Amino acid sequence: MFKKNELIKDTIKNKGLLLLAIPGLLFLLAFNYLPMVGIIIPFKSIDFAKGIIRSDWVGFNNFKFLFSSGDIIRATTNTIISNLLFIIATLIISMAFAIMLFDMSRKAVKVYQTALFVPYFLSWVVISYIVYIFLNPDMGILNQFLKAFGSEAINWYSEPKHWRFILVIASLWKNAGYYTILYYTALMGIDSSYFEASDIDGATKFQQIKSISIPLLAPLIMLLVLLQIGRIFFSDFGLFYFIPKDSGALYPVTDVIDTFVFRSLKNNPDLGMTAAAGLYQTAVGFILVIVVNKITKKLNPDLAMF
Amino acid sequence: MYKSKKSKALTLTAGLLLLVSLVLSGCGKSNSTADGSSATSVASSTQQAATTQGTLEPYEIKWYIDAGPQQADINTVQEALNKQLEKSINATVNIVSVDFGNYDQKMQMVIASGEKFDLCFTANWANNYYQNVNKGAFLPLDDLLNQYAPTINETLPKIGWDAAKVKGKIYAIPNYQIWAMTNDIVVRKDLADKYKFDPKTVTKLEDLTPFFENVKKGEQGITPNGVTKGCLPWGRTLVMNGFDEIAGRDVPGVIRLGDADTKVVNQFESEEFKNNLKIVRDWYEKGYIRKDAATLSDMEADKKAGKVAFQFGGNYSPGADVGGKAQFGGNDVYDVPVSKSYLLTSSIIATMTAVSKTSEDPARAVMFYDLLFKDKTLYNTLTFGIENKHYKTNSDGTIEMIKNSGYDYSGCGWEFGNQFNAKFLKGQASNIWDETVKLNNSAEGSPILGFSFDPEPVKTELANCNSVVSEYSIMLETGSVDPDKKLPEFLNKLKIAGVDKLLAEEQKQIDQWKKDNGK
Amino acid sequence: MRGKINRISITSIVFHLVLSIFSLFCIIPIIYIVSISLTDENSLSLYGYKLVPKLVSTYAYQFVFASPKQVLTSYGVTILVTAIGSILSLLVTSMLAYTMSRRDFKLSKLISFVVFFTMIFNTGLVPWYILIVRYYHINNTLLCLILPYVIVPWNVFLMKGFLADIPLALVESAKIDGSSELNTFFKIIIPISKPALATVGLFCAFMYWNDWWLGMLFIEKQSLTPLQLMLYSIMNNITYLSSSLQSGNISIDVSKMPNETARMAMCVLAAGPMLFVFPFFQKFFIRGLTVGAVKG
Repeated sequence: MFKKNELIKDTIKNKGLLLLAIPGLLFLLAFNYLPMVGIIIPFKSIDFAKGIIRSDWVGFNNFKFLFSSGDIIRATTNTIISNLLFIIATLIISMAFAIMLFDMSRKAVKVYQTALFVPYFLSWVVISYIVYIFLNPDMGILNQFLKAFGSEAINWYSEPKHWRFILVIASLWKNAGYYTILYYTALMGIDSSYFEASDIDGATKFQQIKSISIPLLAPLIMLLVLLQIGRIFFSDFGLFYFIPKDSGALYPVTDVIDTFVFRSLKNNPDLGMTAAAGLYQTAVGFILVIVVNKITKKLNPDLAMF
Repeated sequence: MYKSKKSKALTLTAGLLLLVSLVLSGCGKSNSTADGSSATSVASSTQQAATTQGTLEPYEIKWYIDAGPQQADINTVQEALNKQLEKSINATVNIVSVDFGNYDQKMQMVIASGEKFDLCFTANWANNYYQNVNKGAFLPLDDLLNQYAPTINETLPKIGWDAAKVKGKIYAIPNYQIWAMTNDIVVRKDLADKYKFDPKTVTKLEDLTPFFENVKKGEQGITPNGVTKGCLPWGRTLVMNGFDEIAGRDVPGVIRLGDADTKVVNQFESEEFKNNLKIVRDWYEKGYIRKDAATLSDMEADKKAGKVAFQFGGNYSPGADVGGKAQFGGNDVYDVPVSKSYLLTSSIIATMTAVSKTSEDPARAVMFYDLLFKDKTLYNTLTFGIENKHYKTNSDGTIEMIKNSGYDYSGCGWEFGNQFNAKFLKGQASNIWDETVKLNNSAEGSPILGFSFDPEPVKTELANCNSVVSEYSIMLETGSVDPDKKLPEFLNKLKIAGVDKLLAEEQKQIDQWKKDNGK
Repeated sequence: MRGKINRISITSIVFHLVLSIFSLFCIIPIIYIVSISLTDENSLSLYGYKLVPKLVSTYAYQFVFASPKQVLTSYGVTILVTAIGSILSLLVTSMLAYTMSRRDFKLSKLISFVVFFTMIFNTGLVPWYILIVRYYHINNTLLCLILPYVIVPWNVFLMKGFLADIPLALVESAKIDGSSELNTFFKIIIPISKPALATVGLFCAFMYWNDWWLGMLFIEKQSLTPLQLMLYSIMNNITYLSSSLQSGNISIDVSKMPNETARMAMCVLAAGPMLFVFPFFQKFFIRGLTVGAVKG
């Protein structure tokens, strides 16, 4: 009770701060919280004539339906594997780039930053065309190379075995620049006296990276990784849908939960099942974040999100 | 400390959810009243219309069509239509054209959200008719048609209604156009003549191979056979192979046309399918089909640029070679039937218009649709636009579209009621509509014409089979993969997905239907 | 001393090498798009995709601009949405993030959680669509292309991450001087947060620029079709560009209908402006970054 009073008092004292937050919170309420009523949809058998609210409850039928095919399991596995690969690859590459950039003159930074960041501006639709330039079985650049070296041309869009790699490359190509800038900005925020002091101590570049840059970046790394893990059950729909050109032969590795749902919806429009898949994604992601946050808190309380 | 914060967070979340649920229950109420009022408004407007035909309240009819991007000059045309409609039924029409490819998703959102609209295009291939009927999205039309659609009732043959019926009730109006299903092939005339290929002699796929071989050898930069994932040899020769689909083109389960016993078979296990795949694979390996066919959505641009020699047409209709010529970039084409003509449920319900449950005045929507059947001016304005602005009339009475005029649905006339109201485009013979009607009337009925499958009892199996088919069918049917390896894998996955149960259910429903209808 | 300089320069050579290679890897595909869009369609099918066109042709662009009205309209819509959306989003996001970043404010953790929760708890499209269409009634207006993306939780957290580095002492001293929270935020926090604002602002702009999803769901009028939606439709179907070609009207030279090249040209047109804007942004970006670094 006392604590509650204290909270209210504190809020009143800082009402200006609350005021600043209100517009944002209203947008959240309007576009994120109000739609949460949709949580009932997976438990209903939707009858448009009755409307969503008055449709019949069907318990977990939609979930049973969802899991009745092995495809959702495969899609889940693909989602997790791909996302883990993305998280690790982006983290390593963009950390490395940020540290390299940090060491350079302003002019050089500008040039590299521009180059690395350019792909981030392209939408997946555009990128799918770029990938297609390389992988087109008839005119594509990779097959031109293969033929020039006397190898057999590969029909890329029907050979699933290359696609984990291709997807990671595509994801890196688009996103590495973004994360590099994030880390670089954070590095810029580090008090330069740390580096000056270590210079005086005669520390090598790598010692500096190990004992100054990385530890000081840790909160940001943690934040980003945590956010990504929370979304590990979701995937970048454009990447998995446009880049493989929705080729059935590639589903064994490229089919993720989002594309699975999209396809089911197209083949067999069923709101209940789609919503069930959505809730499944959300629920598991939610649990994952809570768990990761708990673990982080155990290891280092300062790094935890909440 | 942490705990208390957490619990506060939870309290807040709970509070928000409570708020949300309050708003929601508000929605729920308004929802239900909306539904209720729409039901009563149906009744009242019906009465009103019946008693005081002359004093109808003004009403806007919202109509979703699947006809490519909204035309730039749609407003001018709508004004012209409205001028006419206001006089006759005191209504205006608001046409929303959705881009091909987005239509399904768009309609799903529109319908799921309970948005108010009146009419929409529906079919077995777009905005799925059966799904929507099962989910209660469309109004049953039997009574409304009797009351407000004299012309439609007069015009459409009974067989059309039979095809559109689901569990004995009509939920959509079949558009009147080509109903007979005849598989055909489209060949560029210059190339066919050059290589002495007579399309009329084709009776099986193998007959095409020599022509492809010649084109491949003799014509650089021309794809012999324009196979894409939207133009698959198997799907477009289903009737030629003697099959009729039961629950959808790619759904396992067909019957043989002419089989009086109507025994359900799995088309993917048939010899015909295996043979088809073998030939197509051979074409693919020899380069008669583009290597990226499995990811290619269409070859329209290539066709226009004269880079395609041949395509499977799918469905023949009289005068199709005129449209074919336009599609093939102005090159004359042979458009030749390669199968007998059949009337199929699927070919009749391929273009229909339904009335939405959310319509506030379904009677008016039906009246409007009846006018489209009755009034040629209305139909032609909708399809071709305004004379001298969007099209011009030639001395022989045919019309020609004006380029870049901002309005042109001349390629989508089959979405607007009665296509036989259409003026003739330049090059179209003036007897094509008569020929089409004749073809419709002379076509043999499929043994299961009028049957519609209720997916509910095997919903899971159907969904699972669909998902397997969508994974395998395109790569197999374009020849992109070796059928010897992939076909057994495909069939095995179908088994696991429960195809046998699906087939059994199909058989059961067909037998029941036959018994009920005394066939 | 000398040894150290040598060592540094070797590492920096390696650094330069690595970054140069990756930069090329990022840039070359884009050059490919541009060069293919400028290639003659027929030479494309004869020789395949080449970095330098065998036969240069601007026909694809002529084709795209044959009826320029739609392209220009879409440009207008996208530019307007991007400009208004980014500014609004940046403002609301930074205000919210600032509150969240204030550790001395007891409610801030709770607010953070409220924001965070939406990132991982997503209940699907349908109710969202219903609200927007049936309750907010903003479909078929510019608003529906802007409002749903004003608050992107991810951006809020980014912003919070940046703002959290501002020393509390700065705020405290402003408070002692009698500055209100609003005043402090706009007069003190905003000016020293330029790098963060530039970064997040750029992301907002990018997001609005590249979105076709909202357009697809909520826009039924050609006059409000954003650029990316148009691009997406063209990707699906090149004949979207000139629907008059569908009609059997064959007076233009259809044998030259550019397929691949016109699509690439559309890619260039859709992505190009952002690529040109970026260097301008970046000037500010880098300056802001350095200011931020000096302030430490």
